[in-house]
Amino acid sequence: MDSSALRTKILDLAVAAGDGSVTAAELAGAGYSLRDVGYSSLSYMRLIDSIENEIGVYLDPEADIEHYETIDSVTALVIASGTGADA
Amino acid sequence: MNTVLPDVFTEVLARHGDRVAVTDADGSLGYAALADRARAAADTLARHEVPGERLRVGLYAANSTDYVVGYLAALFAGAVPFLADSAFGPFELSRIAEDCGLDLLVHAPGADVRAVVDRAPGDAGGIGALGVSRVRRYDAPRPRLLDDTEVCRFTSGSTGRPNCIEFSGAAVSAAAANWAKGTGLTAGDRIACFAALSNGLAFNTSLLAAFLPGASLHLSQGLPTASRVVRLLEGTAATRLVAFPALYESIVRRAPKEGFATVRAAISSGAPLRETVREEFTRLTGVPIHNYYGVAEAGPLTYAPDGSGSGLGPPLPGVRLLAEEQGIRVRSESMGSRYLNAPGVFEERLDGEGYYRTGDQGHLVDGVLHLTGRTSRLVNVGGRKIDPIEIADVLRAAPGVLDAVAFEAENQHGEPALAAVVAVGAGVTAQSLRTHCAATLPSFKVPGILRLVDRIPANSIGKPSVERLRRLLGEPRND
Repeated sequence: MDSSALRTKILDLAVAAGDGSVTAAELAGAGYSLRDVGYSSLSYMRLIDSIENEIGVYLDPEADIEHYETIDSVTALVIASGTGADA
Repeated sequence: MNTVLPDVFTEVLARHGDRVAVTDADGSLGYAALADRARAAADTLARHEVPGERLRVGLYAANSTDYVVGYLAALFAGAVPFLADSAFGPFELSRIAEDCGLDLLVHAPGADVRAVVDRAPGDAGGIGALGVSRVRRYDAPRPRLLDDTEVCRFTSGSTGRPNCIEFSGAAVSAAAANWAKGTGLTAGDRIACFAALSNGLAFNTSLLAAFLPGASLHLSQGLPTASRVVRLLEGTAATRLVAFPALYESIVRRAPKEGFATVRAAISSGAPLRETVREEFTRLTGVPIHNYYGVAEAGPLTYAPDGSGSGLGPPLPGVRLLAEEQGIRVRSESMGSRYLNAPGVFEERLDGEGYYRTGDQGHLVDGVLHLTGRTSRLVNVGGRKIDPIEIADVLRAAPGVLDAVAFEAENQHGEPALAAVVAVGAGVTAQSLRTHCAATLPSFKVPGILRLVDRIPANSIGKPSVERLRRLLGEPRND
């Protein structure tokens, strides 16, 4: 999966992990900031679980929370974790 | 003044000597080392003593060995620790500091404490990695503590003012002793605790209860996802897991194949655990989930020793529980005394015999408690209770908002969530409302489900119709 496809995949997972009120369009309007759309800690837990399940990357949520604030920073974290993208 | 907890802790810390008391990702403290660290930290706190007054020390931090040291240090210094949820935002923190007259705040070095601290954070010293800061002086006189109050904890109040519950040392000690006895805690137990120590679940099951028999307490920071849990369980060979339902949901989602070999009991509380999650967790791990029912104001009340079925178990030792048509009432040895910052409110919930009206409804079947609902309006999201009136008031104050209603609704995962339907004028977006909420509310109080409408649907007498509001959430969006 290249980094663009990975980012799209993570965006889909982030919308699915939310409470149901946050759409992809809304995330785009917020500069893809999960924090700015009020992503809750329960939503973050669901997102991390689904990334581990569907992309096969183990994320350590002890890492600084800044890594989880936007779709782009989560994508970068997944890539840095060693798999999920080949470009 | 005769305090109870300093003597209880002094005795248990001495009795269990070199056993492991508490660990986190950064290290481990034996009982003797914990006593030494707490005594040294108590000296740091005691330097700020106010003549003729007991120091009021706010603990505003996530779980860590330093947190436990700070808690014990406050007790050993003759101070009163106030255990505040580290998820509280600046507004709640300032309300607590002013309402309760805090003198000092113990906090993480990066925590935003500007709302209550005027000087450089950490100006009053440190406890391990945690900073100790002097709290701003407020003009209003602070309320007097009851003579026998030794610990204060918080519960959801209304309009953003958490109610501060005063506990006597005897009540805190009884809560821990009855929990240890009622659940069979032993020196061989290793407790992996993923609930915040400021919360009743962890405070009652872990903070003192673990130390009474000489068990060890294992703490973790950050989001308690399944992978983290497995890592801590494997690293500590934990025998007990203490967590909120959200963590059991995570474990079921991830379906780990290993990690639970040493765990004998998992304890869930704070919010209802779905039966499907309970069954699947036990099928995956072989570990039973034991329900526990507790109320912030009355301590731990029941425990389900067999770990099967939806019952919450029989009352713990020291608890008298009545489940009647008008709701559940309790009297316990672990009862709080009153709300420090809401005179008369706690007392109003006591009946003539001293039973506390919990606001929950349920019944006893063969001595086992089953909950059926709540008489209170509070919404329970992941173990945190939220007053929907407070949220609606905050939304109504946003520019362009005509009206707002907040209520509990199921999210797309079938879990309870905080929802709000907001009638708005032109130019208002969901994003602008979230930003408005986040400016005054902690993140867990920002509605996860937000729907913008032209007009709030009302019933025939003009009141918002929750049934129609819930139905509205299932319809396609046009905002």
